[in-house]
Amino acid sequence: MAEPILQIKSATKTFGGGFLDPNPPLVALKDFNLDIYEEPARITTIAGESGSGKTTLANAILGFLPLTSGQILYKGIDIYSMNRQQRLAYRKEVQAIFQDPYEVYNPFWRVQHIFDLVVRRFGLAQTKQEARDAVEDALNLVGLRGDEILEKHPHQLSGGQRQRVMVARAYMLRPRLIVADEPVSAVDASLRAMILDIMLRLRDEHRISFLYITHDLSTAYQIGDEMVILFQGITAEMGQTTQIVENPKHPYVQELIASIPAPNPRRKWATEIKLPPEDVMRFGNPNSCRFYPRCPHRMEHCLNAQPPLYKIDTTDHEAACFLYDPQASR
Amino acid sequence: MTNVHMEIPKVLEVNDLSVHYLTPRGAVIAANNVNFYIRQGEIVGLVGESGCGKTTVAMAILQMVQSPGKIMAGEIKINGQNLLDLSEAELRRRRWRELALVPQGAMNSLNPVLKIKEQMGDAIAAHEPIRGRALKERVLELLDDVGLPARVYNLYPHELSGGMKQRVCIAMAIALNPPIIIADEPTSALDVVVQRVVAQTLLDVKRRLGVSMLMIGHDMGLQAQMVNRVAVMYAGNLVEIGPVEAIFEAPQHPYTQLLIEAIPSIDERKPLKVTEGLTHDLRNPPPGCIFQFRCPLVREACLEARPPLERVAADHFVACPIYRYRRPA
Repeated sequence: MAEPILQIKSATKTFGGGFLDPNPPLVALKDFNLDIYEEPARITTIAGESGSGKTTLANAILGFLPLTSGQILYKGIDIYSMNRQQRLAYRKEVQAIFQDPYEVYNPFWRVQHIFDLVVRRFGLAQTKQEARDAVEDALNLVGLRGDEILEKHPHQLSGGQRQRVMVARAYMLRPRLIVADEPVSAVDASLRAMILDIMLRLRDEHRISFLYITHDLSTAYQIGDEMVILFQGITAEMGQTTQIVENPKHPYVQELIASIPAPNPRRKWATEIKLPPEDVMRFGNPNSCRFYPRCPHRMEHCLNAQPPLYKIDTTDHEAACFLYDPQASR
Repeated sequence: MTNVHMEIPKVLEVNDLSVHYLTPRGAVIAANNVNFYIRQGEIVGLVGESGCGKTTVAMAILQMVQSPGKIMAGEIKINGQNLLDLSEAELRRRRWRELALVPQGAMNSLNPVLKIKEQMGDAIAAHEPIRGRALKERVLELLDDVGLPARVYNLYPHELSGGMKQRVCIAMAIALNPPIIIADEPTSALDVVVQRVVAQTLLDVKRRLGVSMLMIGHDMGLQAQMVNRVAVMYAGNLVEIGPVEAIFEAPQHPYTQLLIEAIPSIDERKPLKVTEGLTHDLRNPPPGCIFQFRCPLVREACLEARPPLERVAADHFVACPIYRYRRPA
C-alpha cells in the first residue's frame, strides 16, 4: 500500500501540571496512532464522550495545538516544522468543518467575501469570471445557488445553509482531507441527512477523505468506514465501523453501544446501569486501565498497567483490554 | 382495552393554544391552535425540528412565555382548572406544586453560589411550612430518590458532573409531588451513558410517584425508550399525536413519516433520506396545510384549508386527511 497521507504517531497532549501548578497534569490524549491513506478516500470516525480527547486531536491536526510529544506527519513532513510553502499547501489540502457554523463567520462580512478571501489567498482563479464560476460550482455541489446567498450576511442564512456554505468553502480548495468536528450535532434531522449525504458524495465523487469527529455513533455507523473509539484520551478500540458497532469488544465500547437509545419502542434498554460515584470515576492511579472503576470484567493486573491494543482474531480490529491478551491463560 | 384506557383521567389539557412573538416585522406564529392532553401517569413526548414551537408550548403551559411572546388564545387546564384565569400570585403558588420544570441544560439553572442543600431547601421552604431537621431529612430523601449520594447535600453545583446536576434538577422538580412535570430536553448535552442514567432516573421517578410528564426532545431514540405517546410539531402546528408504537411503526402524517425515516440507527446501514428543512417564514404561513411545500403527497385541497386534527384511533390524532384515502372507508 502507498504511504499514508496523514500519519499520527504516538500523539500525546497534556494540559497543566507546570512548575507552579498544584494539580497533576491532565492527559487529554495519550499515545494516539492513526494512518489515513489518500486512496481510496475513506471516512474515519473518531468517536468518544466529552473529555475523551477527540477535539484535542482535531485541533492538533489542524495546527492549532502543538503536541506535548509525538508527531503528526502530512505527506511525510511534520506539520509543526513545515516551511512557509509547505504550510500553505497543508492549509489548502486539509480543511475543516466545525460544529457551530455561526461562530466561524465574521458577522460583518457578506457570504461573497468569505469566498473572495479563499480565492485570493490561494490564487484559485485568474479572472473574475473564473472566480464566479468556481464559487457557483462549489455552491451547486451542496445544493445552494449563488444568487440566493452570496449577498447575504451569515445571520440571514438558515443553520443548514451556513453549514453548507462551510462545506462549499472547504470544497473549493479541492482538499485531500476534511476534518469535520461534530458537523451535524447542532442541526435538525432533515439537515443532518443532507450534510452526511454531501460528505458521502465528496468521498465517492471527489475522493476527499474525512476525519469525522463525533459523539454520535449512529451517524458514524451510517456513513463511516473506519472507526476509533477514545476513552479519556486513550484509544479503547479501533477497526471497521461495522465490526465495532455490531460486535464491540472493549467493555467500555460495549457499554457505550448498549446505551444508545434504540429508536424502537418495543426494544427498551435491557438492563439498568449505575455509574459509581464521581470520586471513584476519577480514579487516582495513572497506571491503571482508565475504565477500571466501571469495568464489569476488571482483573487485578488491570490496576497495574494500561492495556495496549490487542488484535481481535486476525483482522484490523483492535481493542485495548487485557481480555484479548493472547499471552494470558484464560 | 380501549375502554379501560379511556377511563384514565386527563391531568393536563391544552386547548386551542396560540402563542405569537410580536416582532416589529409582524407576528411570528410559534404555536397555532395546539390541542392535546396528558393522562394520569403518562409520559407524552413533544418532538419537532428546532424552531417548531415545542419549547414555546412548554413555556406557555408554565405561563412563562417571555416578551415579546404572548399567549393569544387558548386554555391550559390542570385537573379542570384553567391556568390562564389565575392571578400571578395564585400562579406562583401553584407552579412547582402542580407543575414542575426540569430545565434544559441543568448546568445553567442551578445557582452557582448556593450549596445544593440551600437551593433545594429554599425551594421547598417557599412552598411548604417545613424547616430545620425535617427539611434536611426531606432534601436527603429527595437526593436518594434520584440516586445521588448524601454527600451531594453539602456540595456546590460546580463540584457535580453534568449528569448529577441534571439529577439534582429532577429531585427539585419532584420535591412538592407535582402531578405534572415538564422536562425540556432533560438529557441533551449529556454523554450517552450518562444520558441513559438520567433517563432511567426519570422513568423510575415516574413509576414510583405516578406523575405525568411532558418530555420535549428531538432524539427519537430517547423518545422511543421513554414515552407513552408522541406529539409531533411542525412550524408551530401539532400535526400528529399518538401512541409511541403507532408513531414509530405506522406514522400517519407525511411529516411524521419523514421524521421516522430520517432516524439514524445502529441496526442497519441504510441510504440517507435527504429532505429540505423548514421552507416558509413563520411570520407568514401559507394558507392551507402548513406542510404543503415539503409534502410528497400534496393535493389541491391541501393548499386551501388547513386540515384539522382528527381522531384516527384511541388517543391518536392526525392533522392530515390522507389516512382516509389509505384505508377503505
